[in-house]
Order: sequence, then structure tokens, then C-alpha cells
Amino acid sequence: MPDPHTDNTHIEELIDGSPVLTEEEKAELRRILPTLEGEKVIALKRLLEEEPHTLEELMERTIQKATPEALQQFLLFLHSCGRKLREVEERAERMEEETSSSVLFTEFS
Amino acid sequence: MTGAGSVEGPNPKRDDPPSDKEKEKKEKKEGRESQEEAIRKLPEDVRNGVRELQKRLEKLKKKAGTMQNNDAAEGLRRECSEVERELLDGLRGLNEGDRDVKQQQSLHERVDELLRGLSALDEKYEDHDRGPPPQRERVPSQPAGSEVLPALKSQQMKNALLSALNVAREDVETKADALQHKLQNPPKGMTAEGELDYYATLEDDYRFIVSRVSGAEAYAKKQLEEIKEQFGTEILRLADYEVARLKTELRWQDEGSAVEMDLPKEVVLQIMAMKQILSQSSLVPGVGGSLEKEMGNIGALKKSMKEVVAMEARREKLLRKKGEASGKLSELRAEVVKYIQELQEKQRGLSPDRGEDLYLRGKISETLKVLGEYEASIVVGITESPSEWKADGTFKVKTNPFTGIPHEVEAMPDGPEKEAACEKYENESMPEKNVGRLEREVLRAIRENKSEKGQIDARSFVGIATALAQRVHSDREWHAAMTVAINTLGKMQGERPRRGFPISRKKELELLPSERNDVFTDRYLKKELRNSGLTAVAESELTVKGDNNIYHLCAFLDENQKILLKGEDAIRAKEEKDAKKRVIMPINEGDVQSWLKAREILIKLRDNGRFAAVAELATIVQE
Repeated sequence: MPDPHTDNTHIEELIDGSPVLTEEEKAELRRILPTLEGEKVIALKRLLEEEPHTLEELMERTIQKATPEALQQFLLFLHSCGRKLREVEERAERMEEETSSSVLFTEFS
Repeated sequence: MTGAGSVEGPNPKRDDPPSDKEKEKKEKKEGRESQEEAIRKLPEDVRNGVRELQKRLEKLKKKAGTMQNNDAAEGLRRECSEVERELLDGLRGLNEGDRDVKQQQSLHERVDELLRGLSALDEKYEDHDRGPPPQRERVPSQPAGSEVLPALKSQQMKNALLSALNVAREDVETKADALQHKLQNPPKGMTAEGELDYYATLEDDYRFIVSRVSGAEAYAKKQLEEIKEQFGTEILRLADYEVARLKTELRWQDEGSAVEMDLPKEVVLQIMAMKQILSQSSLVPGVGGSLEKEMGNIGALKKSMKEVVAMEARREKLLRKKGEASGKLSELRAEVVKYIQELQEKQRGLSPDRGEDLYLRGKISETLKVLGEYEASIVVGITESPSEWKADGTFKVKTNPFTGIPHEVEAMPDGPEKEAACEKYENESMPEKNVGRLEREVLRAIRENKSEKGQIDARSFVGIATALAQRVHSDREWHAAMTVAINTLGKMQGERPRRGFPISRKKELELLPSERNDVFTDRYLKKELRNSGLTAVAESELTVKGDNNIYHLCAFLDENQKILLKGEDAIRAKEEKDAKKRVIMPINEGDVQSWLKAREILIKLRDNGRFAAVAELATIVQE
């Protein structure tokens, strides 16, 4: 049975599921993970475990710490994200409609 | 994000229309409640916002999984990842302030947009409160380094206001878009009841939008008031403080007596200008006005404050020099007190010789007078203009009131340089008004010295001229005084050539105060005689000899210029034909020749100037 403290597989799962790490950071950690040994692995694992594991957890942590001004700013930012997402959604709907039309056209033809 | 910061609108069913004050009070209350509510709901709004985004992202990801077009699906996933990553970055940076540049730019753009929105809102209030909005003023740039105003705090308040307004605006926009969409695209096949419910829901949405706008406006208005109140109070406090401080620091303790000096004129003007700005400023609570205008006023005030600071620096320099002058004055006072004490000691040991006693009294009087003038000149110099101070920090002392010669010239060591400097000042033109003043004095003296029969004695003329000579500041004044005396003398002589001029003993004493004569004699006459190489000292005091009304210019002869003889002793010396001990100038009443002689002497006195004339007189009487 692998040592749970130095089990790289478990660490990889933590890296992949971390909501706080960026993709670049995750890639960098995955790259250096095989080169780590002993205490370094344990330290990394402890660090990852201390970090929020879910977006919800991250959100709660930040909300607890944030000032009202920061939260107000973040609300603006969320709204900006929402608009951006709406554009993506509209494009997705158009793509779906185009795909359906294309399928129908193919069937008819 | 739903319902963030929403507030209830005003109650339309109220029976009596609320007064303006009540309305304002209610609006303020609503604004405050709205703000508190918005802040309280912020965490929940954030949670809701993040969860909503997450749901939509998951939905999109699922949609990508069902897409037949792989490229399109991949593109969709990529876009979802980007949004997701931005969301995560935003959450991570929420407490760190490490937004990426793109996001910052986006925020800046949004803030700019909101500033415009805020101005529009502000204009709306002005429009509502006062009618047409005033013409916009350009916002001046803020002076660097100024710490007078609490700019940072105000900026924070402004940012909070902008954020809240932005949230409200975005929220309202979203809701309005949704409402419009729902209104234009009602579900098909609704029952009548369903349709009623549907539009009731839309109406609720509409009311929410209205209340949201109302709450945001109330909040914005409240924030504006707070900013105004804060700025106005702070600036007024600073202005009052500045005035009080300047006044306090301008107090000058002078030998135990507090002399409160007025503020320098330029400082007063500057403060008045500041107060003028304040009185017109929308920063003062209750005056109202746009943020841009306020910022303009703040800029002007800051500039004004800066100028006051510069003036203060000049004033401090002046105060420093005043301190130096005060020190010099104290030293001078100490010297004078010592000198007077010496004179008084000397006076106490004197024999009842009136002449020497009076001489000393005159000396004390003169010294005190000069000191007084010096003090006055310092005070005048300080209060009137900093230009009275020289570059090296010394004070430009006023001129000696007796000679018209500056003290600094008088303080020069004896020699040709000093003589030249003195001559230069003596020859300077005197103000014409002083000539007029002397003429009036002469005429008044004549009027006062006339006898009941309208006569005046010759001695009085000489006395008038001599007394005036002691008061004049320059040769020109002297000339004017003597001319008046001579003309008057000639006129009187022509009118009554043989009758003579009965003398009024009382007036004589009033006109010829011995102290003045002594001062005159000591200060100028002796000096001139010394410079001319003569050994005689002529005293201007006139004495009466016997019943034959012979008037004498008494002379005191001594190689050391010490008084030896006077009055009868001097006449006796003449009778003894002691050339070395006589200087007697008889003016015999009723004697035309003596009058002419007197006139000749006066003319010589006049034309040769005060100092030279006395020397000349000494020469004449010696002949």
C-alpha cells in the first residue's frame, strides 16, 4: 500500500481539483511533481490540502475576508463575467441552430 | 444577482402630500437604509452571482458535450474555461488586489462611464432643485503635494458611491432588458388567469426596477451630501484655523505690553478671497452643486491656501527681523537709560547755574525724543512694509527728526565721508507742505506775540526764527522759516520805525524755551563752530540788559568751548574790550541801524543755511 503522505497520485488529484491554482500553475506542479521526494512531497500535499478544495469553499473564504468595497467591486466583475457568458451562450445557441439546420438540410437533400 | 440593495419606493397612498423637509428626511432615511441593506446583502449577492455563473457554465459545458461539431464544441469549452478562469482569478484576487491588467482596464473604463453617469445624475438633482443646470466649469488639475484637504478620504467615499451606483445601474439594466424581453415575448397559449399572473410578475419586476433606481438615487444623493458636508466643514475649519493661527503668531510682546498687530494686508486679502470662494462654493453644506464644480472650487482653494503659505513664509521672515530689531531696540534703550542716568547724576551735582542745568535737561529731552522716533520708525517699518528691511537683515532706520539725516549716516565715524553724506541729505528737497506749516507757525507766533496795541518787538522775531530753526529738518525749511521772519520783520519795522516794540516778558519765555536753545546750541552750533575752527560758541538765548532794552546775543568764549560768560558778564567783557571773551550783538530798540543789522544777520543766517549761518554770525559779532 503506498504511503499516503507521499502518494503522488493523490497529490495529482489535489492539483487537478484545486480551484485556486491556475492552469499554468497546475501544469508546472505536474511537471515538477515526479522530481520531488520525501519531505518536499509531504509539504506540497499539506499545502494543497490547506487550500480550498472547491469553488464554494474558496468563495466562502474570500467573502469572509473581503471588505464591503471589495465585494462591491467583485459584484461588478461578476456582472461583467455574466455578460461575457451570455455572449458565449448566444453563440452556442446560434451554433446549435446552425447545426440543426445543417442536419435538416442534409436530410432533405 | 437579484434584488441587490433594493428598497421600497415612496408610499403613493399617503393622504397628505409630504412637505419638502419631510420628503428630504424620508429620502435621506431611505438612502441610509438602502446603503445599509446593500452592504448587508453584499456577501449573499456575491454567493448568488458566483453560483449562477457556475450553473450557466456547467450548462454550457454539457451543451458542448452534446455538440456534433467538434470544433464548435472545443471552442465553447475553451470560452467556458476562460470565463471560469476569470472567475477563479477574480475570487483569488478579491482579497489580494492583484487583478490582471485587462480587468483593471475594464474597471477603469467602467468607472469613467460611471463618472459620466454620476454627472448626469448630479445634473438631474440640480435641475430638480434649482431649474436649469449651470454651465459646467473645467476641473482644474490638483496641485501636487498639497495636504490641505482630505482628498484620500473623499476619493474613497466617491469610489464607494460609484461602486454602489454601478451595481444598481447594472442590476437595473439587466432587469430592464429581461422585462422588455418578457413584455415583447409573452408565452403563447396562456390562460386568462395565467396571463394575469404573468403580467403581475412583470409589474413586480417593474416596481423593483423603479425602487432600485429610487434607492440608488437616494443613496447617491446622500453620499453627495456627505462629501459636501465633509469638504465644507473641513475647509471652513481650516480657514478659521489659518486665520486664528496667523493672528496668534502676529502678536508681539513689547516690554510687557502686548501689541496685537493687524494681519498683513496681503494675507487679509488672500483670506478674504478664500472666504469668498467658500461662500460661493457648493462645498458648503446646503449650497449644493456638482461634483465637478466642487472639485474646481477645491482646486482654487488649494491654490489660495498655497499662496497663504507663501505669505506666511514672508511673514515669518519679517517676524524674525522684527525680533532682531526688538533686540537692537532693547540694547539702545539700555544705553540710553544709562546715559540719562549719567546725565542726571551730573545734573544733581551741578551748581545752580541755569544754563548748564538746562543744557543737561535739553540733552535728556533730545535723547528721549530721538529714541522715541527710532522706536516709532521700527514699529512703522514692521507694520507697513517688509521693504523697510535691508537684504542683510538690518532695519532701515528712519531719519533723525532734527536733521533729516538717517541714523546710519549719523552713526558713521567723523570725517569727509560723513560730511559728504550729511550734506547730501541736508540738501534734499523738503516737502512743500512743511514750508506752509512753518509759515503758519510764524504767523501764529506773531499773532500771539502782538501787544494789545498790535505791536510786536524785534526780539520776538529773532526768537521766532530761532525757535523755528530748531524745528526745521533741512536748509530749505530753514530758509523758508527765516524768509517769513525777515519779511514780517521788515514789514513791522516799516510800519513803526521809531516806536519800538514793547516786549512781552511772558511771551518771550514761552517762545524761547531754553531747553530747545540748548539742544540747538549743543547739537549743531557747537559742532559747526568746531568744524569752522572758531573758538567762539554762540548761544541763541537772548537776554535782556537793563532798562535801555538792549538785546544781546550772548557769547561764551573758551578754547574748550566751555561756557564762561553770559548776559551782563558778556557785556562787561565787551566793555573791557576783551576780544577773546566777547561776542555781543546788541539790538537796540528803536534804532534803525540795529534793526537793519538784525535783518542783515537774519538774511545771512537764512542764506547760508543753519549751520554755516551760525558760524557766520559768530564771525560777524567778532568783528
